[in-house]
Amino acid sequence: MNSSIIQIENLTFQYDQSPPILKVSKFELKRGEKIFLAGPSGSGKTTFLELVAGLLNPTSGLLRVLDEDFSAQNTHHKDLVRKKWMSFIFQSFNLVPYLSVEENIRLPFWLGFRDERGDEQITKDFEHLIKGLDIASLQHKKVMELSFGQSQRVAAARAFLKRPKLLLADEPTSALDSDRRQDFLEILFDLAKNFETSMIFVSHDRSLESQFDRIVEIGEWK
Amino acid sequence: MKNFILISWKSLLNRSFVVGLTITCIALSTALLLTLEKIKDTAEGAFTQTVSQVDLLVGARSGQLQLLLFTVFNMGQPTNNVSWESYQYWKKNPAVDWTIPYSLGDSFRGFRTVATDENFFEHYRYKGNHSIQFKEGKPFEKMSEVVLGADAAAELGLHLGAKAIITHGVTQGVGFEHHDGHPFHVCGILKKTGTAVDRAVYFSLEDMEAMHMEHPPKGPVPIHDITSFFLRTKNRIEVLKLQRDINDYSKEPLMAVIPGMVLSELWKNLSYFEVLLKGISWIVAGFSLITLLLMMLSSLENRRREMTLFRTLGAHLSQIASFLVLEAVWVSGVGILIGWFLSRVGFLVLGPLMGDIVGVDSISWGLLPHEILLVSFILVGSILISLIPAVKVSRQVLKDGLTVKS
Repeated sequence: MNSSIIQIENLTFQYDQSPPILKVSKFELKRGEKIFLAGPSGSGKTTFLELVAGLLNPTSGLLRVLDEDFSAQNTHHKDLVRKKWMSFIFQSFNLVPYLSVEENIRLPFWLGFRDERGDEQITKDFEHLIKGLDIASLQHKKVMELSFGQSQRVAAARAFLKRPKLLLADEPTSALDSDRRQDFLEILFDLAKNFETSMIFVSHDRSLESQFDRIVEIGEWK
Repeated sequence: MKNFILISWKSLLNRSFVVGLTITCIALSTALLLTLEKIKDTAEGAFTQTVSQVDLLVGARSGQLQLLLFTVFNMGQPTNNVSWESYQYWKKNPAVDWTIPYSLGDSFRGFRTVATDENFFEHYRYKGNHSIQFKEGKPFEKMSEVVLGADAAAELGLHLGAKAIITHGVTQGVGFEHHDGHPFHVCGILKKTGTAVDRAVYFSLEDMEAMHMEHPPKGPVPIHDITSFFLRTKNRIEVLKLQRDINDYSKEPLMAVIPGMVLSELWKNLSYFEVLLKGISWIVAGFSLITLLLMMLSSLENRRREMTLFRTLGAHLSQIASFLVLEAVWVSGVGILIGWFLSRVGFLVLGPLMGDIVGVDSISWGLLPHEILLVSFILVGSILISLIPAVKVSRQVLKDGLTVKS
């Protein structure tokens, strides 16, 4: 595998006949790298994540993600790449309300994610992860009963249990006060380091940017 | 797959009120469909098999239907009789195996009286190969003995050995003209058959004749005529020829009909009612499927959020579509199971109300082949209907990407 997780050249994206909403002349994410993607609301940050996740198709240009040419692959193939190698953390965490903490964390496996680890190893990893995130005691609770901070950690556990190569985080700290924001970021960095996960962290909050390997201004691409 | 099914189940439990209503709707329509089907089957079975193993029904020349009604269902009044000589003539025909003479007469406190002989108890069959069985007592052997059908005995509250006075003419209550001079005593009570046999009273042909004589002789009573007779051939191949021969009999205008055929024809004539019932129950089943569709469409916005998340977590589009189809299978499957149970309970409750021609003897809890066809229609219908929200949500999810876009 080459050292780039994401490689983009001259990419444009537009919906049907409307003017392009995203242009990226050059972008690269290296293995293990953590990028802070900054830009005002409506600048196309989420669209960028969706392109990288294979949920949208670029209109033109080169988009390589995890050694796959996403500008050429069909939806199903991109679904498979996303399932195998990527994880997401959202601003609202997107936990499934009627499932327990454990069920939420294991959800990607229930939806068909498989890797070379056996069930036993996955269970060990799961226990290690919830212990590390201090949510072991909440394992069987409904996620509706969790506090904001606990939900956040469940979302992190769900993202990392599958040992992703790429984590896409879309404003995951914007609803937190500054202390908690810092705590959560540290958790993410620790896990990313452990699992050698590269990360694109999208936020409009510039106070965090100094902790990342690189800052990319989305406005610079236009 | 196991976990996939579990998520779907938990998702439904999370919306238990609406889902419960939809399940109720499907359960009720399944119950209605199955109950009506079962009632129809039982009615048809009981009706067309009121008498079996009889090749020909012979009476004076009149209408086929009329002959059938008064001989098989003890309904109406025969216009003409068959002479005892003609009966003897055909009884002795070499092609004939056995005959049952049948003379429909007066009523006994609202139940029709039938004069016959021992052949009735020996040869009469209904619903395939069921023979006449005695609950207590035995067939009449001499004059002034009477055998009661199961319902007649139960409703009149008569026991073995009780005295009975037969009235003249057909009335529902007490006859105007009593045959006071000819009292009977009950020598036997039949087991329930679920046919017209249950609602009749049987005695000998001699009694029937004697009852209408002013001064019955002390010795054997001569028999002049009977209403009709049942006939069984030795070989089924003889039936049509024999039927033709009887119809062409020159000494007396007779008519022979094949009871099974006339019964089926009569049932077909009555079947507009069945078509109506069936139509209604299919419409109800259709409505329950529409309810399912409404339930799924009304929750589509929430499902869209859920499915968008599932997609980002790795579910592909076909998985998302099958998630909704699975939900429909759950709802209609549980609905059908409950409906199946309700239908059997419903049948137990409604069965006895179905009247006297149709008797209900037993209920089977298992699904019959054509019932399986009916419930599969509901199941397949719900799967097909769920494709509408499934395709809709998959398209939206494809457009939504990471978050739901309005």
